[in-house]
Amino acid sequence: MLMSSYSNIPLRKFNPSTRMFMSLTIIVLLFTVSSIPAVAVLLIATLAISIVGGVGKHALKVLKIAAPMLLFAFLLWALLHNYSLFYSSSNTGFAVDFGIYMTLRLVALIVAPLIFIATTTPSELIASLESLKMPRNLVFLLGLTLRHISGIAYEYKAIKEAQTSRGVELDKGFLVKRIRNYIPVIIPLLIRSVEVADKVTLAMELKLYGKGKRTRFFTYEFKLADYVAISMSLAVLALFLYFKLAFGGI
Amino acid sequence: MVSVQLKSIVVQDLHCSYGSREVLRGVNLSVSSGEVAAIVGVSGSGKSTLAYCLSGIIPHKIEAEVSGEISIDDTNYRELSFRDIISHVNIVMEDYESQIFGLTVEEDIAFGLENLGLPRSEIANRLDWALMAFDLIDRRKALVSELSGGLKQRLAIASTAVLKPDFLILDNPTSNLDWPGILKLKQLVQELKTSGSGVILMLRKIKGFEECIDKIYILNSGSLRQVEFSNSALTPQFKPLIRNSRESVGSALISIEDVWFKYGGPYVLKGINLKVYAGESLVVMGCNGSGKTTLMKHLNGLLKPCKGRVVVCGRDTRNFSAAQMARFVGLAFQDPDKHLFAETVWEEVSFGCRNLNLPLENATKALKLLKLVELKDKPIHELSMGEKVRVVVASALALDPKVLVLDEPTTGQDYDLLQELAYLIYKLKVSGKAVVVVTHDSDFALAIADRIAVMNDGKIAYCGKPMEILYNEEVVEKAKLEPPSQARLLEVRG
Repeated sequence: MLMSSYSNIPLRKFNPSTRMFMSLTIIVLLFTVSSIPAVAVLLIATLAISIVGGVGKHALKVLKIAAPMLLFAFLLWALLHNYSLFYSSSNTGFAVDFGIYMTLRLVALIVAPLIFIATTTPSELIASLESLKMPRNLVFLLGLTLRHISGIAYEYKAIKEAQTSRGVELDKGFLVKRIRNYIPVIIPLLIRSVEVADKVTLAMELKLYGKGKRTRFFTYEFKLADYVAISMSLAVLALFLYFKLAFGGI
Repeated sequence: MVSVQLKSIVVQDLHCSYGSREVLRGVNLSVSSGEVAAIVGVSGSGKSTLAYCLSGIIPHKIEAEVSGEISIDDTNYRELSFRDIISHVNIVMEDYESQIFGLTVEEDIAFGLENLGLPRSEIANRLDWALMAFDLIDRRKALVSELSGGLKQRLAIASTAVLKPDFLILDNPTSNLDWPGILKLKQLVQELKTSGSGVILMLRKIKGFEECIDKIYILNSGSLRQVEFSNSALTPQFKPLIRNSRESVGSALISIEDVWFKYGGPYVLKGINLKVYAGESLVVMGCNGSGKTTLMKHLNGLLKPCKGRVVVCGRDTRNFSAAQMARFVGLAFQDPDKHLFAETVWEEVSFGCRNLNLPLENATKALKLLKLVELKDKPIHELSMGEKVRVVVASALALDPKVLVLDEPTTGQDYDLLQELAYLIYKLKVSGKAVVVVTHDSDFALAIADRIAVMNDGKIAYCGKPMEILYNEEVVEKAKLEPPSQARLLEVRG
């Protein structure tokens, strides 16, 4: 989710729904193209948007973390693609091209969602989902979950501290033993969550939630920049789909 | 924001019981708008039950047998739906966190107003009023998860007050607030009063609120009676216990040597040096966020210093896990609701003994000392706050540690129990243990401390004999400590 140091970056000038649309467009496009040049162009565009938009550093950080996985994926696809257990291929030998194609796509797939996720506050996420006409109760539930995550994390820590302070060695022993150690921490946490749910239900009524028409006070207006960005995204999307349908893709 | 019509809420002969347990016994009460009524009582005296009856939660949401009458402006509660009652009389519960819905401050204040379906301009007006009145304007965009406990509570009150109920009930709003927090809350109550709302405060003690309260009631075992400000029950005195001077205590059990610590951001402990000796009780005071709890977690090795070292019972905590230190240091956490995990009182108190293969008699003894024997098989979630705090203390005591650390043990306790606790601390001292207590309660500190250390911004600002600290106006003022009752009485009465 959004970090406070990112609050003034260029991407934040767009409506959250626009940013979500931009991210989704790139993701859809990535699944429509099938050649290395095309996927490379998309990757460059994605990186350009994230750098100009102000999340370049963040993207780099995420990619660094993902680097070993990307390397592993490349090797897997390049070396073993033609030797799948699940289907028989007439090709033999290594598929380096395929490895490059899949890895580039994966890199782009990691960066593209950041355009939305790394620039969006939980509240904006809720507002964008509402603008997509998702059911109100479902969106409210998601908001409530986001609101209570920090509380649950705090409670988890509190129970852990209370138990270690009375002689429980949670991180001792082999994996299975360690997992078993955590059961007495998790169970009270689950019970606590049910209790919280009860309290929240009452608190909702105290805040007069439920009956009648609800005003939406916080809305995010669409500005000219949003219309331009969405139109451009739609145009590119249309172009790629046209190629896909007319010529079997690029 | 001043309401023109004077409204009043009247309670006549209210009885309330859960099954065979009668909690309220013939309560009579009347509060008018623009008035602040304080209902003072210990935890378990029926304050929350009365608050629930007044806000309609009982019987609409929580089942209980109720008899007697409650009416608002001559309309009996029986003729009103829960929603109707709530629009007249709303409540900020003791567990105020569950009442916060927004992800940011302004969203939370607007949440109830959106639910009311008010026009956007009206929401904007009320939102601005609440942000200004409750001093949240600079934090309007702040994430709720990043607010301190005191600020979250202020937000919970703001977002309920903004619905403009005729009466607002605050259930135990001062638990865990430091002295500046209490004074700020008094200001907010004053603000609500001038805006025309009636306020009903459910409190353990009125210290800090004297200037804004119009009526005081004492709730004792379900019976309510109105009293004068001068009533001695409101400012009881602890019996003095013998203090140890430095000369009479033993060797150092705790030695904190130039300890620095940070969680990731800036340092929260900045070069702490402190020794606690066998047979001594040290009270640590200071505002919220001054680093008290962080320091306490260093004593049993839950946290390890970034620089410097902590040696407890001859063991450098950097080389031992918290679990290994458990035999030597018993830590009773503040905020018991979050730290209790077992199903019953006995399971919780005996947990440490079973874990460390210590005799279960220790746990039985701890139950006796904390007056919990009768509650032994009771489920934890049915306990009052005061009882939960005692369970936390008993659980730490059951390990028979050389060092006992109590973080805020006064929460929800009545004076009799605090007196017992003071005596218990005295007995532990005499038996050669070291006791460290964190508290905001100056009277309790005066009763138990051999020495008081005052923390401010991660440092020990003052350390000395209790009288030298708490009866020194300059120190109390600078460190923002709660003045002891005698000094406070003189201050209020000019």
